Amino acid sequence: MKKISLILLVIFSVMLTSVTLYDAFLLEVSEQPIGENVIDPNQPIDENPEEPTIEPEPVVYEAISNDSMYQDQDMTITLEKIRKFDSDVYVVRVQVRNMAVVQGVFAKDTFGKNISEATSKMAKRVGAVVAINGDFHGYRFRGLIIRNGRLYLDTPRSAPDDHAMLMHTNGTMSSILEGSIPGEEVLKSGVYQSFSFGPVLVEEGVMGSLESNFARKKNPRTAIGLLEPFHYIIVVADGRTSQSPGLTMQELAQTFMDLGATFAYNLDGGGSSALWFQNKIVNKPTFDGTRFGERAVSDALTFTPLQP
Amino acid sequence: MKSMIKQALFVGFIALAGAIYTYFSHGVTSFFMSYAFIWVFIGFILKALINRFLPRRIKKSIQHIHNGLWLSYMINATLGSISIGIITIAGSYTNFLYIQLMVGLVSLAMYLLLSLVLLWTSH
Repeated sequence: MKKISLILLVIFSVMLTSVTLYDAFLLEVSEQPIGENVIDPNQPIDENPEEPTIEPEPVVYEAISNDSMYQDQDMTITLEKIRKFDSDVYVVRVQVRNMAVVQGVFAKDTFGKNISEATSKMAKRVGAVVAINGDFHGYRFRGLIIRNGRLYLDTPRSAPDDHAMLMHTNGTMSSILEGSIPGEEVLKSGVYQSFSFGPVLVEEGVMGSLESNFARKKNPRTAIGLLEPFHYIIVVADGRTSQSPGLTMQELAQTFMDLGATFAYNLDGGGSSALWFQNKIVNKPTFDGTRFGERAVSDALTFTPLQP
Repeated sequence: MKSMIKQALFVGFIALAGAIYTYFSHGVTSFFMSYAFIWVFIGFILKALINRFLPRRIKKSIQHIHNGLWLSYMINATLGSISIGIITIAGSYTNFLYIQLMVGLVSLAMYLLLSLVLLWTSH
C-alpha cells in the first residue's frame, strides 16, 4: 500500500512537470486578433487637422538591385558588412517611401503560441527583400503585439521595465512600457507595428541602461533602429564563434550610436538571429557556434515590395 | 551520519545541476534554477528537526500521510522550481508555470500543520 501511494505520487509529480513543459514548449495554439480596428499604413494621424497637408510629388524609381542594394519606388535598401568589436556585423539601411512595405509576418501565416518557421521561409513566402527575425512572442505569448495595423496581443510581460517597440505610420519609432496604455489606444495613436522584446538600446539619441547579466554577455544580436523618420537601420551581429563572438548589449547600442541612430531596440537574438537579403540568409545563424542553421521563430519583420 | 551524507550529496547534486544549466544558458539566469536546491535543503532540515520532537508512537496511517506530504513537497517544489528555471531561461511562458511549485508549497504547509497537530496531541 505504501509503495503504491509512493509510485502514484511520483507519477503525479512527473506528469505535472511534463504538462507544464509541454504547454510551454510544444503545444501549438492559434489565436485571433483583438478587435476589428486596422490602421492604414499611409494614413498618418493628423495632429493638427486645420492645417492643410501638402501631398509630396510622387517619385518613380525603377526597381534595380545588386548584391548590396535594392531600390524601387517604395524603398531604397543598402547592405553593408563591417567589423565591430571583433565581430561580423551586418548593417542594413532602409529608406521607406510607403509604410505598407514594412510588414510583420507570422510563422505559417498564423498568429499563436509555439507556432514557428524559419525567417527565410517567411521572407520567401511574402517575397521580402529584407527580413529579420522578430520578437519570438509565440514562445512566451506575452507582450504588446500589433502587426500590420492590427492588435493581436495585449498581455504585459511580468518585469516592471518591459518596453515594447512601436513603429508609427508617420515613420518614427518609440518605446512604451507594456500595460501603461491599453493596446487599442496605442493602435489608434497610429502604431503600425509593435514588437515585444528589448531592451531599448537608444532613445532620443541617448544610450539606455544595459546592465543585466544577459546584456553583458557577447551573443548574436538582431536589432532595429531609426536614423530619421522613414529611414530605418537594422544591425545583425554574428556570434558564438571564435571568429565572431558577438556583441554585448552595450556594444550593440554603441554600434547604433556610431551609425547615427536616434532610436534603437533589441529584438530576439542568439540562435534566432537571421538576416535575409535578396533571396538568401546573409549572416551565419548558430545556436552554439558549431552547428549552423536557422532556428524556427514565431515572426519576422520584413521590407516587402508592393509590386512583385 | 550516513543518511546526512546522502542528503548533502543530493542537495549538492541539484545545486551543481542548476549551476551547469545556468552556465550554458548564454547569460540568461533564473533564480528558480540557480536556487532549486534550497527546497530539498529546507526539506531535510525540517524533517530532521520535526522528527526530533514528534512522539515515538504515531498511528501508522497518520505517519504514512505525514511522510507522503513531506515527499510531495520535496518532489513538487524541486521539480516545479527546475521547470520554472527551464521555461524562464528559454524565454517562454505557460499558465501552468507556478502550479507545481504551489503544489509543493501547499504540501509543505499541510506537512507543517500535521506536525503541529501531532505535537499538540502528544502533549
